[in-house]
Amino acid sequence: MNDIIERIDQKRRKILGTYVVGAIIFFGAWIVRFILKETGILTDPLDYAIAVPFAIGLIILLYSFGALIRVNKEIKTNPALQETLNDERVQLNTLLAFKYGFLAMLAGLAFFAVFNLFFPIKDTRSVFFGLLMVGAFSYNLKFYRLEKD
Amino acid sequence: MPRETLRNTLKVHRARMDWTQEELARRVGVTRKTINTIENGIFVPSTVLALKLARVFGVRVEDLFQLVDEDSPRNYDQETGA
Repeated sequence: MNDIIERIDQKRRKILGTYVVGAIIFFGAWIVRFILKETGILTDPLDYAIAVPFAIGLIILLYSFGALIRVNKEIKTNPALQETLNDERVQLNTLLAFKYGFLAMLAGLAFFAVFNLFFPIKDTRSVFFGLLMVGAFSYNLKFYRLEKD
Repeated sequence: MPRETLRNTLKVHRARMDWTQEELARRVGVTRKTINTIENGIFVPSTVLALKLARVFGVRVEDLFQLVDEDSPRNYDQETGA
């Protein structure tokens, strides 16, 4: 049982690490494209160039997200496993990461508000999408760092 | 106001029982990483977990965890005479 717990715990951390890498690449490409587009300096070749890391990041994200779902399913099949792998340290880390995600979303909102003062944002849907990404990715990044320490 | 930190003797008691972190984790129902972070002072356990740890070692919670004044080398036990 101990071996299974240790194996799944390590596997979960590893997948989360991959997810964070994918998220950074994906979000990085997205934010660069957003800024270039809104400031009016996005050319077609530049757009295609940005599409490459965007696609790579998305593939890594989807792959690791699927792997995370599979691991969580494996955990849910055994109540003892579920209780141990979601012990009080993991629960605390989840709360801390949630708080961090919320604060990051507020910071993102402030960024878009200031950005809008200088370059009025036309694509408001991107702002909503961007804020959601900031919240979700910051949560995962913080959770990964807490679990890694 | 003196700065106080929480120290623990988990490693000492674990060595006394000849248990690995994994073994102790199994006995109290947490992950090995949780035991590791408690031993290194990164994570402060809840009262329930502290009581569980004391129970498996057969000691008092105060024997496992001590509040130490950072400005002084004396520990909580010495200060209170416990």
